[in-house]
Amino acid sequence: MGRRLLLVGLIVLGFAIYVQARPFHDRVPIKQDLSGFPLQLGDWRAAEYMLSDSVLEQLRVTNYLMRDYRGEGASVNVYIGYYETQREGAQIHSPRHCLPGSGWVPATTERRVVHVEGHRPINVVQAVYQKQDAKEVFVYWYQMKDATITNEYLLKAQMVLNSLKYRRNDAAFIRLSAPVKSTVPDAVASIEAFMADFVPLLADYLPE
Amino acid sequence: MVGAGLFVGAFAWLYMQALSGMWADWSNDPNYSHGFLVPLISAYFVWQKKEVLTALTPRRSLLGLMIALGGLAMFLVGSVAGESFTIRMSMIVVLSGALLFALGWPIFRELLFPLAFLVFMVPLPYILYDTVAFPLRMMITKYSVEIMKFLGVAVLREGNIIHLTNTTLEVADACSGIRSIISLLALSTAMAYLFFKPMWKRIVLVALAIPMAVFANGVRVVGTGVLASYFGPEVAQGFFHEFAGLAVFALAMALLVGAAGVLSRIGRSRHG
Repeated sequence: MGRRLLLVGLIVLGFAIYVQARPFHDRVPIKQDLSGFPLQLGDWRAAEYMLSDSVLEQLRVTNYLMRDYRGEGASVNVYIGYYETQREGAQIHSPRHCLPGSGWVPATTERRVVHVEGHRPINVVQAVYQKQDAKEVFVYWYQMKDATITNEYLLKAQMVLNSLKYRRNDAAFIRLSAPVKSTVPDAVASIEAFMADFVPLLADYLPE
Repeated sequence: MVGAGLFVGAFAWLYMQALSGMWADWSNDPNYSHGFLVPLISAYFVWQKKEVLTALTPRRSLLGLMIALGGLAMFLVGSVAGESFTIRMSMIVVLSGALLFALGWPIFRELLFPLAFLVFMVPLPYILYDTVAFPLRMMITKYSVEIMKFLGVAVLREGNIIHLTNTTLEVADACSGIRSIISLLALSTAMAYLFFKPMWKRIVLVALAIPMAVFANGVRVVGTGVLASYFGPEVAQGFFHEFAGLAVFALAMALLVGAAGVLSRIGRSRHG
């Protein structure tokens, strides 16, 4: 019995040395601080918001951006949360959970692809949330290296893959939302119009 | 002796981070404060069997070695994914594999339950926790509001926020009942194992833990709502809030003990 435990012990010890010697992922710093993101984007002008300490405590993001961009007759709220490495507690949270908690109830959710000219197609979740009479369209996606992901389980899988292939598991969460003033397609159109100005700039900030 | 020492040392070194992380979760997350007790209860189960265990002769099983290696592979996947749940579970797998390899099936069979019980000390992964806790919280809020309406309280629901005429209550994560569900599941599993022999009784008792926890939490939400609407918002905060948390757990436990009492009467003459 002692000899057998000695054998397992040696295996575990060897494994522990291997694991200690080889960390699985490096921190990937963001290319530029998101607070330097342009306040004027095409015809859109931004008002900046700070997240409260208690929210930041929950999110534990490395870097974030929270702004309201106003254009002609439309406004789009932008949130970007960047994690240079994802560890326990410091991981992307799904909006599926934080929104309904504050009284926003999902009305519809669909996955679709948004095309921005001169840019790779982006996989997004497009959801309409309702709170009493108010409606809001949310378009969001996760971005890991060059992949855009819409599913939390795939996000995990991608984390494993990227860690093995590139020794990194940094990720960004990007969420755009617009209140429905007349119709849902109008709000979606505002978001897409905004994305045309917004998406090309992302490459300057998020590492690939 | 040297073998056991080396194994324990290597194991502790490999899992140092996972263990301290778990310790922190038990201390900081009220959903998991029962985690401290779980290893002690497991140890008690083993201690209870010490005579049986010492009477059996150790053998070995190569399958155990395979399981231990599988556990290490699990650790690797967990570290790569930054997923602490997988790492923590791998701890139980490696330990089980090592024991099976070193002691053989007859002894391992006796240790199986105490080892499996350790699963209760591992906090659920965030994704899963949310998937369960969130709908549960919404459901509890919904039905509690219906009952409050039935009791004649002027009340309005918005997501998991309850609006009363004089205050607003938020049914927070802690009230979702998942806290008591996991603690009660651990407790009822220990009770089932200690007090009942027939499998169906064990299963019934463990299964009852879930509706009981949900019911007790509903009572808490309704109780808080009704009291707050009569005596003002102070009731929902501070002392009463803390007290209600304990009272709810006591209520669920009383229900569980009651159920165990009823179960022990069924077919006592035949099954014991």
